[in-house]
Amino acid sequence: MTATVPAPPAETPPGVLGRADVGRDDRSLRRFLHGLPPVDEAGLERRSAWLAGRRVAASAERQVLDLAVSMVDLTTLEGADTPGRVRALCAQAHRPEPTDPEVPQVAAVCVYPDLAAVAAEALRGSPVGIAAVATAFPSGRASLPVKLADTALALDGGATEIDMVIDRGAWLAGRYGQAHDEIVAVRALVDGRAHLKVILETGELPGYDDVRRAAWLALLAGADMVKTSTGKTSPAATLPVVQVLLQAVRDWYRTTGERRGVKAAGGIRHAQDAVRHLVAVHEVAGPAWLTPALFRFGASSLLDDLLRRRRTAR
Amino acid sequence: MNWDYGVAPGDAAVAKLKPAYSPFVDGRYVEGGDPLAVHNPTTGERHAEVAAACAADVEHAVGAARRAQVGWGTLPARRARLLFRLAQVVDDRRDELAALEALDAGRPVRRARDDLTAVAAHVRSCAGWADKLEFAGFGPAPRPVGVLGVLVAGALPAVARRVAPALACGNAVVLVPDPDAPLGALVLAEAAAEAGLPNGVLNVVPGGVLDVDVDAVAVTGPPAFCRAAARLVPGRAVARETTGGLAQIVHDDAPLDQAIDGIVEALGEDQRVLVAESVADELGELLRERLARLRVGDPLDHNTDLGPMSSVQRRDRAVALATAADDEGARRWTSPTRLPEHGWFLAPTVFIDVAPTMRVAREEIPGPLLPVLTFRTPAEAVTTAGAPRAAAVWTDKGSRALWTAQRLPAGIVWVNTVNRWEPAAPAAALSDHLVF
Amino acid sequence: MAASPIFRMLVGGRLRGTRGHPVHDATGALLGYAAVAGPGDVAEAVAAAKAALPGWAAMTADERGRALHGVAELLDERRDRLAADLAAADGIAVDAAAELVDAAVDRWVWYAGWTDKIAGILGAVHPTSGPYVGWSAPRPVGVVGAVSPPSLSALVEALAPVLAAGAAAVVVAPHERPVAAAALAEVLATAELPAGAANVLTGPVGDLATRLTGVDGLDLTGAPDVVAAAAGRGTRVLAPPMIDDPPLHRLRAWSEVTTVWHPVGR
Repeated sequence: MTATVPAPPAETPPGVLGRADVGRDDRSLRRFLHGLPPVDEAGLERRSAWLAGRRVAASAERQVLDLAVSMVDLTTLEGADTPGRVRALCAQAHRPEPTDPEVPQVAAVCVYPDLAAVAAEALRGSPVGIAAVATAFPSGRASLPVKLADTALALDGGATEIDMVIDRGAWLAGRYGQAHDEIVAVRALVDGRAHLKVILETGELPGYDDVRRAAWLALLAGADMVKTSTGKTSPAATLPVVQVLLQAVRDWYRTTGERRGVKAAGGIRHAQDAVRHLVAVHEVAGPAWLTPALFRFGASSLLDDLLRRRRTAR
Repeated sequence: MNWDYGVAPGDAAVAKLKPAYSPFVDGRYVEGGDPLAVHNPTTGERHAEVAAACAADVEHAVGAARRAQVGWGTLPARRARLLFRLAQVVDDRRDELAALEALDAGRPVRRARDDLTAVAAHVRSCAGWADKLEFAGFGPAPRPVGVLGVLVAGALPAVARRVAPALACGNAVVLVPDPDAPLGALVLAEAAAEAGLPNGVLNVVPGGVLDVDVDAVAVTGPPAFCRAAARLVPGRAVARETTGGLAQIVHDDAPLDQAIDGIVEALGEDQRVLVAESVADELGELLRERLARLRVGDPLDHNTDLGPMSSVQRRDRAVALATAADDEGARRWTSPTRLPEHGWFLAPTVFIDVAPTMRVAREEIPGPLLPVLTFRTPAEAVTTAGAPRAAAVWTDKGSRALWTAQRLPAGIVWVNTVNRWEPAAPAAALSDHLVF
Repeated sequence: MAASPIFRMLVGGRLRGTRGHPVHDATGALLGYAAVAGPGDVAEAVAAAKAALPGWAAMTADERGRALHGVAELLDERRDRLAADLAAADGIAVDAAAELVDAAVDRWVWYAGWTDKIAGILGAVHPTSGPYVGWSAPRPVGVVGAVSPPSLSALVEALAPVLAAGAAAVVVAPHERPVAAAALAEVLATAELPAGAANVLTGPVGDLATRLTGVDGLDLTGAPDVVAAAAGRGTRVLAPPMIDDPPLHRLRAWSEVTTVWHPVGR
């Protein structure tokens, strides 16, 4: 399989659904989001356990591992990140397995906004994307101008993808409109320049119903992808949570005809975990989502394990 | 990409299938009479034979049961300990028994394993009753019935669910297994012997005719099975249990994704879907999408969601029922899923525009056919459901679930789940299971 | 001659005990040495029980029943050795001692079977005078501190119903007759129970009884003298006599009940 990381869409086609259809204030938004079908926790987790038990045959394993590699957003998000570390990461992203040219490139590297320029420089001419976390990652606790400035810094540095966080404080306080409008503002800034992923930080949401509602809020506001976590809290990307996000993008597609993506980030360290998630992508959203354009893993150590497994796979 | 799970086949040898079986009487296999062929539903081929119990075998079994029951019925603490051990044996031999279920009854092996875990729990719960029957609602000094004839449709889990409470109460059992899946019952009797249950307490007589003196006969199964069973107990009034299928009632506020999971989990059982008209289209769309991705195939394959039907007769009856539904004007959608070339498989099939008067809405459904009926109000849902054996109510509203449960004449009503058989409630563990 | 054994205690899933109190058989021969618990052991055992409680209570009733049945099986496995020890220590015939062990195993099995059934007996669905359903369900009381007489049957009554109810136990028995307590401690140490769910101590019971603080229930069957003093401690107290206990008395004592109301409607 060749490594094809599609360029971020230059322009996101306008969705059929938008804030205008739903309402303009917290209450209307609340009525819409709370009108979504509920999620039954016990049943959801039961299905997840069933999906987790799927086995991929040895004959198909290599192909699946390659797909997983091509979906990785290779991430470093530490206070101690340096240009040198980012350049090393970029080198690995561009050629994950120097001895084996058949191993695809990863989808993107993911760094803090101030290091986006370093990554852009290191990846010049490479199809690997440059993702930057922005909007006062990971807490999201800053004013909108600061969040927009943060985003602008990343874009100016050459980021092709922006991973923003939602304002969980606003969400939990019921200020859905504020959470929504911030995403819209960032969307407006990145439009035509970068792909927008919205981090829901599902570990800080009360339950699966909220995960579903937050996903819809982000999709309504123009997210290209909904993403589970910052990786800074636990639990992060669990199979049930990812299943709810996959249901959201599937339902969004059934409603609007438009395919949006999911990024599972945080806590996925082993190839086996990644394969479980791909099983869920295949069975919950559908085969059309089995592409780096529509599904990503946010991870730092996962890539090494995928490569390790790949070396032993047939 | 072209996703493929490949095949993850289980090892058929795990099932320890033997080429020949015979009646299990008084703690051992006895010779028996003419062999009955046992087919593997996955291939349609004969994979074992069971010597049918002749009249002498049945008489032998009843005599052995009669002798064994005397001691068994008077030692509650010993019964408790031995039945606890039987549960342990089922747990220990789970993979083997699950593989046998897959081979003999076509149950997907992963589901079979879950079933057997539940079986062990059930036996354990019954074991716990054996030494405290005075608390089980039978009065201060309950006595066993004596020798019980049991006819059960279905494979090992169904058999164990009937037999364990009977044994716990101090009865000895002479069991006639389902001719479509007779091996599970024989292996259960073997397991009971392994656990140390006295000889004669559990006897299995395939194809036997219970025309000898037993104290009661319990028949459990769908109507067609009960009618056939009546011929095996000539001259006796047969008490029978289940009739009617499973009603899946999906309200407009249901957790739809989980409702789909529940419908798919019970696929192949006698079930109907009743859905609020306002969400019928959405449910139908999601259901078809889901069914199209199901993996139908070898039940020993770890990735199989749906196996074959347990007998060619059932398959043919399902096909006939589907044809009748077409004739009566239901609209059919058949899953495009690939079916194996051999064996008794049927693709999942959804029928919409089903009227309550159609055959597919009223008769026992022997395979993965899903008639979908719509309702406008909760009251109409209850009326349309009729008298199901069991129901699953899918709604986010607790009061509505309880309202529905109080009005359905079903033995069990699940809310937002289906097919959970926890034996914890005393009534469900005992009185519900012994019907004569 | 083999070295004289130490009759050990169980705290937080680990056996402990040094050569404490010498124990003699009916003829005066040395049987071994009993561990003697101090205040620190009691405090540790209570802390271990508290820590184990959430996990033990959260296990399904079937899992708890299975674990408790495993204890009975282990006890049954050492039937002959335990019978011989009890016979020697108490000066009774081996056959009689074996019968006592069998009865204790049966009783333990009886309690093991209750884990998934007490909700059906102590709980209820009750009719209401309106469109509601009400139901009551038992839940474990918490940590139970029990002072037990030294006999095997008494120890089973002190321990098994606590565990069957889903509660955690600290049982104290007199160190002068430690054989049965030590046998239970060893069995429980190898059983598949969460460490700390069941703790067994031997020591001066009158003194240790007053040290059993911070527990949610007290069983003073083995220390009748301190019952009056315990009355002011604000803890549920189960007092002697245990003879002629109604059969579910102890399961009921170690359960609390929560009632739930729910409306019924469309």
